[in-house]
Amino acid sequence: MTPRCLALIAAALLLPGAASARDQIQIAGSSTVLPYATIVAEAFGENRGFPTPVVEGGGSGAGRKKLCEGQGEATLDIANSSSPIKPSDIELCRANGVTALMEVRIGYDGIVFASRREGPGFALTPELIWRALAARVPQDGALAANRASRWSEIDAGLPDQPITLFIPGTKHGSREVFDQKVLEVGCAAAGAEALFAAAATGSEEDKAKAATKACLELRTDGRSVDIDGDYAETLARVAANPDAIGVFGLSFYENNADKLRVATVEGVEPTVETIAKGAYPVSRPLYFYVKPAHFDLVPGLRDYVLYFLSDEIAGPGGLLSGYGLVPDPALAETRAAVDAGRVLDMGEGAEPSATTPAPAASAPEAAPPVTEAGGRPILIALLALAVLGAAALVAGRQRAAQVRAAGTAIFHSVPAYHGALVLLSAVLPGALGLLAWGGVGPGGSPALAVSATLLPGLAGGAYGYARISPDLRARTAVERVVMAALIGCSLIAVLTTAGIFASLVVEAGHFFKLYPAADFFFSTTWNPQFRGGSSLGIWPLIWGTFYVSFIALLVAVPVGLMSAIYLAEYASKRTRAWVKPAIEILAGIPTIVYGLFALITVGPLLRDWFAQPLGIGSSSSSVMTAGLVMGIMVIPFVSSLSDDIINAVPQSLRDGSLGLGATPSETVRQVVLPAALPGIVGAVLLAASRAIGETMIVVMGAGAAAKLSLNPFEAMTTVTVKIVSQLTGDTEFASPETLVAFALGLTLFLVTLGLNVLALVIVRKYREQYE
Amino acid sequence: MDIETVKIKADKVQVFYGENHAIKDVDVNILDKTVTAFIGPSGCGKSTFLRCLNRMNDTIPSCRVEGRITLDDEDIYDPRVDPVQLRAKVGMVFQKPNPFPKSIYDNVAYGPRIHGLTRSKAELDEVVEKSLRRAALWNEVKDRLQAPGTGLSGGQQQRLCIARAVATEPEVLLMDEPCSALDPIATAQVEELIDELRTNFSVVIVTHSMQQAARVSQKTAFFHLGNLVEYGETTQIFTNPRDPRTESYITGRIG
Amino acid sequence: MSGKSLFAKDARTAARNRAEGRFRAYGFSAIVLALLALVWLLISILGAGAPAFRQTFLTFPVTLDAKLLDKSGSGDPAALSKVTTTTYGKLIAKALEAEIAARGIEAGEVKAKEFAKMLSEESSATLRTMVLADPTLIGQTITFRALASGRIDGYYKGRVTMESAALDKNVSPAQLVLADRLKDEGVLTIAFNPGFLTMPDASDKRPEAAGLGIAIVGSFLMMAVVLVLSLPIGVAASVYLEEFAPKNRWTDLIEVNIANLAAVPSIVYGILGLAIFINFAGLPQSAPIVGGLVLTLMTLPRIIIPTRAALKAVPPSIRDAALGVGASKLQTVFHHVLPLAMPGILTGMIIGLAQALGETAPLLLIGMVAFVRDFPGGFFDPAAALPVQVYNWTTRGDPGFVERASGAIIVLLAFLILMNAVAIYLRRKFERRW
Repeated sequence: MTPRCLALIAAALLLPGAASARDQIQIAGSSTVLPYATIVAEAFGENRGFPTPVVEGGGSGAGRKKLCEGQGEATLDIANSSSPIKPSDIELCRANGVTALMEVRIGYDGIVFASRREGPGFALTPELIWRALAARVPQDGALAANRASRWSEIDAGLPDQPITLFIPGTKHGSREVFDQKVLEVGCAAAGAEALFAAAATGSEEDKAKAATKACLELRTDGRSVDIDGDYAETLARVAANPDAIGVFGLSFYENNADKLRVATVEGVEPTVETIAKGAYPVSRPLYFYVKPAHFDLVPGLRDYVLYFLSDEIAGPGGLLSGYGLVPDPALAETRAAVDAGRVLDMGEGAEPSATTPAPAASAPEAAPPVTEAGGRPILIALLALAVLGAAALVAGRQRAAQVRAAGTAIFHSVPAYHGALVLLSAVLPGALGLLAWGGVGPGGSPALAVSATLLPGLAGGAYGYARISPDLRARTAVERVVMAALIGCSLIAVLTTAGIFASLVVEAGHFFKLYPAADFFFSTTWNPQFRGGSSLGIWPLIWGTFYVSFIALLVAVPVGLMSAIYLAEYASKRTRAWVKPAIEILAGIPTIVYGLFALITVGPLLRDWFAQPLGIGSSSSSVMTAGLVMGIMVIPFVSSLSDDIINAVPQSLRDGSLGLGATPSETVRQVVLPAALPGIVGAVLLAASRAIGETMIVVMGAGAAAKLSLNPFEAMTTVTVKIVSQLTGDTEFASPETLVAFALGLTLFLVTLGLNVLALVIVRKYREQYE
Repeated sequence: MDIETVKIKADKVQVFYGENHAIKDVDVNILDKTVTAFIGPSGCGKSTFLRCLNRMNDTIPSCRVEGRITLDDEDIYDPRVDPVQLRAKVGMVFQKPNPFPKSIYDNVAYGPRIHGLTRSKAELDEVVEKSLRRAALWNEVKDRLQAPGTGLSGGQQQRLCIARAVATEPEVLLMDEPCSALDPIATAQVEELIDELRTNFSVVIVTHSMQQAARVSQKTAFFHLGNLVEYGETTQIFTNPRDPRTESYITGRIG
Repeated sequence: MSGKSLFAKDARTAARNRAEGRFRAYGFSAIVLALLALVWLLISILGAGAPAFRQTFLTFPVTLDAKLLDKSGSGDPAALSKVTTTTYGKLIAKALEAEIAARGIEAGEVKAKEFAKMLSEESSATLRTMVLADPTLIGQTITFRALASGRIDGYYKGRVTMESAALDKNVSPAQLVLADRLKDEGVLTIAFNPGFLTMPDASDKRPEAAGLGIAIVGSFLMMAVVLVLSLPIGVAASVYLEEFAPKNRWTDLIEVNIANLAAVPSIVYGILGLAIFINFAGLPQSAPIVGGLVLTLMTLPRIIIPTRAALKAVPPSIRDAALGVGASKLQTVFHHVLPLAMPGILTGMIIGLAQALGETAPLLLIGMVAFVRDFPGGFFDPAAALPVQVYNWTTRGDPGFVERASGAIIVLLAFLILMNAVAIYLRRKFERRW
């Protein structure tokens, strides 16, 4: 009975909220805008009498895509964005009936270069930065591979220290600004753009394109490191590397000014003031996009937009400038535009702006009445059903007991089964009735829902009650229903796979329409670009994934298996009772913790004690770092399950071996382990699956550089890292650079499928029957 | 064949499981090249005592043995004795057939391999064949030595376990109710086998079945509640028991 | 007779015994290694996270001036709620200034205007909430305990030093000196901070006010969903596959399926959840129900595998015994096999739940990473989750959040230890060897 009771309670708890109206503003998008949005949301919630808006990150592209998924309560109200909306987003919006959007520019974000506080200061220009990073640089009028290894080689005025720059990965919106305002400018200033154009062939336009592409081509010898994580990761990398310069947002730098020394660009130090004046060259506008149609739907939405744009928040000296947002001089105009209800020109098919919601005085008091929640009737109907079920159970049982006591006939089933059968014959039709009511459309009063539930329920119950007789095979009938339920539960696994497959295949299909499958599966270069022309070959990612997993298993399998053997065969009961759960704690520690552990502790340790003294690497993120830490994480997956499995090997086999004069270790190696092998293969399989699918550790420990190398002390990247980084980046959602995540997901899914089938075959081959 | 050589001598043996006094003051002399049967009702301690003889009780942490047991006049509980060496000399066959999850060949070769009894593959083949012949199994399995041992029938499995035990050339073979999981035909085969084994080994068999004890053994010991009640020639025990408890048991009044 | 004496030392046996010793030592060192790794991790986490449970407070009297807070004098709640935190902030600033003057504390270079910078911006909101909850306070002088700003707090936790303060535009060395004087006077105190466990998350400007309240509630709600759904479904599926399913292609397919699902990277479940529960079923973003459902799908195969192993470990003799006394197959399973397999099932369940509790990646895709300030009223309201809160905090700009993240991990570990304690109890009580 227990599972059924639990399920009923769960349903009763879950359903009531299902259809309740939303009263919180939903915001998502750029992680650069995120801190500003949370600060405003917090202040808004405290002062304006509305609930605090819910703010998510996830990247500009993902935010804009969610915004454009449709209109109504289930969709986003505001998308934060660190770049202007793209035509593909607008198209998506229109396709989904979102015909009006307001573009709100909230201010500017400065991009700064900073090194460790303890090191020397840098006076940079775009040209110097480009010369440090470019793959090819002009030398004596010709183009040559960039060999500069120290800043002083680029410019005598710069410190004599090795070049290492941590720049935003290609998923970041700030990378686009970095490309445009630093690399392209620097390339032109160095006179290289002309050389690149001259080297290219084709029309003038083609030449210019080729030159731009060549300008953005960065060296791949480890001097330039893409950071796919956030600024906190860049800071940790800079803190661990005395020579490195990192790229940060102004507000992040200002909050960590005690750790970082900022570089001047063109002789100007970045501050809120110099950026607002336009003296500091590297900055970008920040936006959010809001659906005016939601102003009447979500209480406080309009109020929030205007509050955000008020001088006390986004103006000079306001709440946000205190946190590093550079105020927009045109803030008042933006505010007026919102007040006037001016919407973005969305091209053909968009509604003319005149029909957009008038700036009506929608005071919070005048908010539209909250629609009657559909949850209540469901809850009442479920309660009625539960009562009916309980009554049916008791009645059926009692009647069966009475008939049994009165008659002399031999009963097929005990009364409890008759009770259960009556319960089922009442509850099943009742639940069907409720479903039908929900399918027709959950309208109307609770009475309707209850009658839709109770009428078939009562009829079924009465029928079941009347059927009670000594001959009725109640147990068989109940068991048949239970068996159907069991089969249904085991089918959930199939449905899950179908769901995964469908959701991956559909989007991967979109990807392969935009990008040739042959290049994806056979190219050995992974180099996504912001403006198209990316190389998205999967091999470097696959290689990184397997290399890291291999090292992880190299650590986890011996340690885990030996621990399991010791625990099962040697340890005293007391030791075992404490050690086993202690090791299992390792499995429950969130992977994010291992990631930090890899980044801060293990990575620098390996670099300083192994990689650098041996001259085989200088990066603290490496395959070895991630593999080792992941190995630690995976130990309990091997040890716990192996231990259970070793324990399940019959004691008689151990006795048999010991009785022949074998030592305990001979018994383990030659008798217990072969007997437990299938199970152990299963345990190692679980460990391998964890390692291959692990994300957080590799993000922070393995790095983001996609390359094919054998050196375990080099930074590499994995499939999972790229799924997250491409899916939560600032690129447009409908671009191959984002959609590739689904193709990667599909590949990963198919690879694990292949591995598992293989493992299952092995397991079956070795399986021993003790029955 | 000279008779009446004492192979194992037990002197005031006590066994405790934690607080439980399982074996009390047992004195017994087990003769070489003889089948000795231990009989008695369930829980009388006969299996426990058997397991003392090759120190299998060592694997149970709470078990404690006192008194003196000697094999060829050497104390097997002496700290200098390695139980591993002891068990090579005193082999054991268990109640339930427990072939290892290996091939028939590897099952039999297991003991010789771990003890390093053979020098070449040919020699090992010979040992395996000899052992399987001694266990009267050779003709049934000679064509499928690489098949898994677990695939045999129950009686064959038990004979495989016996072959496995004799392959190490033990001096004593302990058998803990070896036929209790077998059908009558298999039981008859194993009993016949035990009788043959007597020519080479000293066999100690624990059995539940008095008929079996009468059939296969020359000496019989009757255990009751942890005490060795009576020990003597099998014929004498079954025809003319001295102790009233023995008489009650063999006439079926207790048990 | 034949053979050597038992006392004779035999070289081969000695070698075998040495091998035995080595093998045992490998096993022992494997355990030591695993435990050392655990200890290493725990020490680094505890060291970094323990300060999050203590917080710096400033306690001083604040006069709630009716002229500022209730201009109309009507005490009308609507009118009172029009007064913003800015006004309360000024009130607190004035009160702190007065307190410093009254106690005759030398402020040094710190200007009176900068006193309030030593307080958290959260404090004005706290005071406002207090007054709105009890308007009778207006006009009275109350003793108010305000959170110190993140930098002042960091100074007492070693994060901020005089040198770093000199470079920091959010705090000055003079303010630190003043803080020390306030501490001597007993105005500034460092105390246990229950708010860390009960308060909601805070924005980047207020690391000192950020708490785990919503994340704990969110995680709890998600785990409730996972437990309620995956235990019965997982056990039912395992029972069917292990005890009843005919061995044919169809069940083979299901079996391969489950093994594969256990190996599917968790991030893929995030994509699934996004596609099915959010885009298709239209369930709300950031809601514990969606997180719970995604984690249930992820956890199910990871529960089914050990559950089946536990069922398989029950010897067939038990089934035969039950069938032999006339029980049906289903009764045999539910009355005998399942109870005997329960310890193994529960161990698998606990490991599965522990994984689900610490899972981050799939939740990122379904929006569980949101900034939420209002406590969820049910399974459908936006909430956070513990591990995602850790991730979230490690990405924040202010260094004060690093300590919070480690503190959050300690809380997460506390839950884990609790779960493991239950597992130990069950294991001890029921473990058996066949």
